[in-house]
Amino acid sequence: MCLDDKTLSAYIDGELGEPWKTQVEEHLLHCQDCKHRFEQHKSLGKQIQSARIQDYEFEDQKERVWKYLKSNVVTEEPSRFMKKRLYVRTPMLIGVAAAFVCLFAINFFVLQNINGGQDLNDTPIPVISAAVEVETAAPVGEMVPVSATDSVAVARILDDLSVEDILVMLDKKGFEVELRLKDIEEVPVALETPLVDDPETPWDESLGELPEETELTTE
Amino acid sequence: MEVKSNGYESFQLVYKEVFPVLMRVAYHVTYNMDASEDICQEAFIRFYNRSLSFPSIDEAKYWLIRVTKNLSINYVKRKGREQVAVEKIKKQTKPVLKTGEDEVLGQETCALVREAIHKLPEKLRAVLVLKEYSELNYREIATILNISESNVKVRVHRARQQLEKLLNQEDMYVSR
Repeated sequence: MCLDDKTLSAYIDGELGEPWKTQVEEHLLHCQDCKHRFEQHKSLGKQIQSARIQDYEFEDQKERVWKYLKSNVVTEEPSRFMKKRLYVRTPMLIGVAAAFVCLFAINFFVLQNINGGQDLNDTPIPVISAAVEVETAAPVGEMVPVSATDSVAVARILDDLSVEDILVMLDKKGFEVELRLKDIEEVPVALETPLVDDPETPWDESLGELPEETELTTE
Repeated sequence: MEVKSNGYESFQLVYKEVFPVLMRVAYHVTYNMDASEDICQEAFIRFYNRSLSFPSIDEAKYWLIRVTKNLSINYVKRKGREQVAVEKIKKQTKPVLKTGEDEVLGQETCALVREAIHKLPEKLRAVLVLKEYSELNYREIATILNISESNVKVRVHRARQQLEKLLNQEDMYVSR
């Protein structure tokens, strides 16, 4: 059976797969009619290519269009760094956002605590902190001896405070204070000022139950 | 290599690589140099402004060829004066680099073939131009035209068949 034009056309274009390609080649070796038709196809191909516009014929157009695009359409990147795009996957983006929220929240609470402590007690922060440190070191409800040498911070700041200031501060924090003079028997002391009971203050929770009433009495 | 249509470097690269084939497609569909220049320019403007991303330079080329082909077909339809264009083709001559009888014959053949291609129906003309002047295989042409490979094969065959008839008619006309 002779070859049809469609097969010859595909064969010339190199688009014929095996085994048809080999069959066509073998057929062309023996069939003069098909060989002649094949030559006609090749001749037509040459004619079509003779009409092809050559690259040198539109060199001017190529230059002109590029100049136009460069000056009116395309903007040259000023620097790679500024134009560089970062591609971040969504989970990573969410993670980063969550980290920012956490940092913000922690900051907020820490600042609130510090400010709240100052407002409530109106005493220097290091003193309170030092006192809390000393207090929390022992079980709640037990008597704890406190001296100016228990904490470096306390020792440094106590110089700026009167004994009364210190006593008021400790009283506000719920300490039961005992003052003792050398070589003299214990003198139990209770302050006149009422205790402040503010459950909203964070450190109050760590102090346990506060005494309902305290009096300054001297035996 | 990813190609971003609005990146300066990739745009420049695509322009250098693809402009010649776009110009050939536009020219062999419209057979008008000025129109082809405008069409290529328009295709690249669209390419840049669309801010597209292609997995390879070939994919960018297919996109540009498709746009250029469509713009060219639109131009021909809009013009609607094919006869005028044909007359222009007849008058056009390729730049002469060689002298002699062969070159004159070559110019005549060139004009006849271009005129015959211009007479082909739009669908056949597009597929023939892509096959003959764009160095594309059937698969690539199928991708650009969004048709099957077997359809490309049939269209190429029919385009050649009709072109051959048109050229033979011209030969008969010339020989009389």
